[in-house]
Amino acid sequence: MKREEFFKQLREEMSGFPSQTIESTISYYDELIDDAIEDGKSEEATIESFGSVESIVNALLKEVSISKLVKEKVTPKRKLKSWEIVLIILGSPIWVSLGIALLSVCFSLYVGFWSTIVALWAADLAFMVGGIAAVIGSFTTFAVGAAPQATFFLGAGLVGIGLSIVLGFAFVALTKLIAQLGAKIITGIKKIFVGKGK
Amino acid sequence: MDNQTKRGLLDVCVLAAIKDDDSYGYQIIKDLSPLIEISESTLYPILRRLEESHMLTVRSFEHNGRLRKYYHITKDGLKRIDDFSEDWKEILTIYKFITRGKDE
Repeated sequence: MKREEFFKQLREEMSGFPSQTIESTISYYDELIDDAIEDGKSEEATIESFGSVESIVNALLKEVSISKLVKEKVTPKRKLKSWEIVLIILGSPIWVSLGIALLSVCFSLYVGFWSTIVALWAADLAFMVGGIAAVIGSFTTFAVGAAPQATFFLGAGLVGIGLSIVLGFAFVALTKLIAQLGAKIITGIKKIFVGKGK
Repeated sequence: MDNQTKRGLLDVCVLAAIKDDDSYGYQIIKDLSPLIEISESTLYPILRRLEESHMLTVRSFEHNGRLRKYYHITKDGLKRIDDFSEDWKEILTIYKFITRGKDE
């Protein structure tokens, strides 16, 4: 790929980014290509070594906040005409409520993620506390002479403690998975705003 | 090495690469790639992040009839390197404790 083609693709893929970010990214890669050529490498091979345009943009996406991307997307590229402003104001009962609805959905998703994690660990803690309580209870039960019940309590308690330990390992993995999923969703939301230009 | 550790390491590596002399993108990658896996597309977000957190400043100078961006470390950047070495002194002590007696 030649330089012009590479920059064209990069611009397309980055079309939703703040224009300042696009320009500085292009100038960064432009300089790298110049330096590589000066170092005796070919233009095509250098651009090849950068990897796919998509991976370049994905790496950048992680650094740009959602609010910046949204601002760039919703800020008009030209001055609004007066009738457009009137329409925006008249339409506010619709779009304000839609906006609030969208925000609440995002918020509930966020809360959902965290409450899942909290619920998992609460369950784990319950097994552990319940198990320990049952083991302690079994001693007192034994003391009053109810040996069969005491054995049952002891067994149930140990099962509870054991379960909580085993589940603990599983939950660590699950928590990580949920956190990763959350990060993926955020990148996905950012991608909606970046889009593919026109 | 896990991703989070590597991310933190890369930040400090980039700062260390410009610690003594200002440097530019191509040179930084050249200096770091024998030590740690770093590519053009990973360096750029790091430079932006470090600039935004005021650990380095960017200045353009002419080179062979074109502009080249040079990265200059700030006081905050130097402090980050110092903090890093302090942290690692502790980790090294722990490492020596964990692996004690293995070499004898």
